[in-house]
Amino acid sequence: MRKRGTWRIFAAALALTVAALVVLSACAPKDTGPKKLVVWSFSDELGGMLDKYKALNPDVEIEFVMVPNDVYQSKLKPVLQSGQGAPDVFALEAAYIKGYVDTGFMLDLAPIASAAKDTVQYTKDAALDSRGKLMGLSWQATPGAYFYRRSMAKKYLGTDDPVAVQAMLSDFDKFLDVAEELKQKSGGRAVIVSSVGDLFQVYKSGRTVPWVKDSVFGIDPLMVKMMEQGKLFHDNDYEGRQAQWGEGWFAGMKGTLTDESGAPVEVFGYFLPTWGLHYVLKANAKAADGSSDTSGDWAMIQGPMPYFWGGTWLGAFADTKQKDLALDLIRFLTTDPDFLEPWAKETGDLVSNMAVVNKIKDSYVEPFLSGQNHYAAFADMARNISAKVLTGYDQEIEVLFQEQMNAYVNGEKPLDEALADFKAAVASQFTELSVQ
Amino acid sequence: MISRHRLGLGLSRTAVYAVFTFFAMLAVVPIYLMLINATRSTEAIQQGLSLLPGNQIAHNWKALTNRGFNITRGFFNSAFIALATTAVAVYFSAMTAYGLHVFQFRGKKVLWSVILVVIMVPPQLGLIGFYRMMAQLKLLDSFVPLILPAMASPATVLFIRQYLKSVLSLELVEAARMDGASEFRIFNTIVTPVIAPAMATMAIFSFVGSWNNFITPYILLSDKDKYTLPMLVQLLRTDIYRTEYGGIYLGIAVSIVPILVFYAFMSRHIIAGITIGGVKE
Amino acid sequence: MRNALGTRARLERQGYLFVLPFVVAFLALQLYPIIYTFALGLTDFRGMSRNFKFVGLENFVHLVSDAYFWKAFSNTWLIWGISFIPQLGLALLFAVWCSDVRLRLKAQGLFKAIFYLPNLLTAASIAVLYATLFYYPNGPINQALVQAGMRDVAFNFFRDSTFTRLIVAFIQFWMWYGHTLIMISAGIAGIPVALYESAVIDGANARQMFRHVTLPMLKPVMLYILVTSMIGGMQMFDIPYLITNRRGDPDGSILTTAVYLYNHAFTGSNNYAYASAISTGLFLLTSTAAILMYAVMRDRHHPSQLRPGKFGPSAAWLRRNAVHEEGRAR
Repeated sequence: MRKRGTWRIFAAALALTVAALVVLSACAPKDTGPKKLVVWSFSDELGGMLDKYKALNPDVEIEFVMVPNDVYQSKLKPVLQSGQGAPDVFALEAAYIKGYVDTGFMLDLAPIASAAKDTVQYTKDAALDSRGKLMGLSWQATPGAYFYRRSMAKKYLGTDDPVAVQAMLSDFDKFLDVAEELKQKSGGRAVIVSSVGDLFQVYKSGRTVPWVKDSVFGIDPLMVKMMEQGKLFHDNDYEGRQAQWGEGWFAGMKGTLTDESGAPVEVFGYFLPTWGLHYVLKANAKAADGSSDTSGDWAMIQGPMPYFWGGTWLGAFADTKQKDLALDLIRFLTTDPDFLEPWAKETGDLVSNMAVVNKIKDSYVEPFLSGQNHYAAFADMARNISAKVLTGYDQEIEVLFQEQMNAYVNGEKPLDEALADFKAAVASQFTELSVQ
Repeated sequence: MISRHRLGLGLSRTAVYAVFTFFAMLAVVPIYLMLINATRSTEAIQQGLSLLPGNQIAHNWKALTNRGFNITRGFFNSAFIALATTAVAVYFSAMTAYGLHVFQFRGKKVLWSVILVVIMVPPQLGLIGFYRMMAQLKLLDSFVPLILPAMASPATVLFIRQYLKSVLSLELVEAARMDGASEFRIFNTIVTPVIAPAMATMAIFSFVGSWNNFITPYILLSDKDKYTLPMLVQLLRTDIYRTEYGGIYLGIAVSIVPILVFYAFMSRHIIAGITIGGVKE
Repeated sequence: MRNALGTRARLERQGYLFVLPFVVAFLALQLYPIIYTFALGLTDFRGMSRNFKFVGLENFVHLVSDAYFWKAFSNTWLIWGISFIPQLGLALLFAVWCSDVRLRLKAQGLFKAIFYLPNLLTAASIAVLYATLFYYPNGPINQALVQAGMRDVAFNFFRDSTFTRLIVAFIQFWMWYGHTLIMISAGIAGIPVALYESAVIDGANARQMFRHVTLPMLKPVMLYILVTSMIGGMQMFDIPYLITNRRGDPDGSILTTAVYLYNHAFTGSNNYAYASAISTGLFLLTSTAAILMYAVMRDRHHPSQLRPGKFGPSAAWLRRNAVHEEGRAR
């Protein structure tokens, strides 16, 4: 009697536990219904593009989920891995797309590959898996440039003509000379870049050794060169001591940066890619209280080295229940001239479809750059990009690299020690890699 | 009467006041600086410190919110989660405490020991398992796993039970039973008013705890539209959101001012809540 | 006690109904995840693989020889220690002052309320606030230092291991000494006046009374504060994670165990298995430390005062440990 009572109670508790779990899972979002796509991205940009697709396909329901950049991968990986709550279509960045193409979680884009015949080659290379199958497509190409303040160029270098300034800055040795000239002529008020971190994307693109090859970690000599260059910038006060993406970095774009004593610091220029012009520089040229505005005072040149920075690719989940719809959405957003042409005109973004680019590139006059045609210039730069060194580890290895670079540049430790610590950090975070 | 502690340690009253004032300043100054800077323009902030507020709060609000940084939404997400968590934690804890106090049943002693032990277990212990479990239940981007675990808040149960012991007369319960009231009716209509002060104290702590919680929602939530205030505020240290000094201070202020206001009215109860729990029994 | 009208069996069943929600939620949402975490530590489960297998104690073998784990563990102790010692010392001093009849301090309640205030603020916001205040080169602290002539150029606080640790420890101290003060004040209020009276009759002076009456009598509450603060401190996450680059830099100086655990589970290769092993290891080490603390304190002083439950858990301790607010780091 007693025993049965205990047992009954135990059973009731168990049943309730199970019931609670069932209720919990019932609360979960429903599976995608007919003609419904879930799309994930790490920036708001895609949201506006999806509206264009919806306008043409009113029967398709699209749920757009924006996940902040800093946690995007850590949110995406588990849902792809478990298949539960996974998006049908998702965005991937250059710094990690290679980590996804061989996982089996991505849908082969072969059915729409023919639509991408005019797509600039490097954006396709970046999304190939190890067997050469296309797993992603991008609507944009993202070559990088150097943007400088015309008023400062005139004042300190004697000319603001992009051709002449490019000649003065055509390699990093000359770049250092100009940095010294700016410092001298401005009495130390002008710096050529606002942070040492600004050099990173430029040097990174020049690498020939990937961070990881066949599970072996390696460091390209150019990365070491950059650390040494960075120290020169730091020790000679050629940089504004800011952090990239920091408050002061943006203040420099507005022309409102000051140092700790309240004295102004003039930032001569920024290394930024196509999207950086529109979403970073233009968006931050004006102070919120309207007290300062640098719009129209900028010019764009290639700078010391060709490079590219970022870029967003779209891929589809291998197990999506909406394969055709997902493929059609990706085809539309990344290759369709009827979408890309007006999009390029509306936003000024350099699209990946070179047929569209060639058709419209000569018609641009960008008032923000005092009338320069940034589009034609970017179009030329896009052809020189190579995506051969990309790996899926890039984003996170680079965070570890930057810490050691900062430590070395600030004089906290010698170069050898910084490199040794970098290797140790990589070995700890990625136990599957061999680090010699 | 003999003084309890003649322990001035050689200091005069004035000196003690000076020390206390210094430490009070230490608490207040960083918060004050933040509030002041939230109202000043980026340019003014860069020029140096000020003890007087500016008039740029509208510009700062624009700088804070113009990049899809929906802090109002974050505010309501946080408020919803905190209110729901508080309601769940306090009601079910009161129920459990009452069950343990009034009824005799097998396993009661075991349950009570479990509660006492679990209070000492560090809460992050099962975090990875909890996260994987929610992934399997498709609850990763949902508020449910932020709220439901509060049903089992051992510490709140303990607090309310201690209170029950000192205030609830069992005669009252018996009398209600004689009148034929059901046990749940007795609990809801007769017992809860009696233990309302203890429930209120725990509600305050439960609310503040949930409002301030960072790691659990940070791990579980993906969609920026579901982000809570602490999660949004930490975004002010990342890429495109980190643009204007004034906007950053204003963002921090939005997450802290509600607690300041709350505390201004409730500090007496909050401090009493700590000490009551601290020396009971 | 039971009335004859209500049958014992019925009331017993009712009792189960009242505690059932708690029991179910506890089993499903707290106990099970903990067991699951321990179990994951015995596998090779990573983010991008759909299969995983049992690997025995492999992760734990790696953990024992993982220099980063031990660095993180000692960082955590160091930062907690730097924040706890002044926290306890100052709280004790302030509590004694507050209770000193000769001083007759006014506005004690107000002071205590102000000292306690930072404890209620959002830790994530506090981290962002301090990062902004100590910003290099032109944050408010650097502006003040330079404009007051105390330094020629700005100081890069967050590139200096010592200062970064001190800032984190200071924030922990700043957020918690008010709480400790209130706990100790309550402890002093609970000491019987008779003890002091007999001390005075024995001719004790103020200092002797403090050493021989107040301190021993406060032992239980101080032990309680020590152990709870240590357990909370070992979980320290929000501030060290958010105040610099989210990896405990500069130079790993504020890499705490919780930050290390988070980074293994949620960045890089999403090594859930190893993160689970770290979690388990941290639990074992923390429990050992807590037991040692009890043992050591008990040996030196009167065991009768260390009865568990003499000072029940405080509301703030309850708050810190309510499950829905995991991770509120101390």
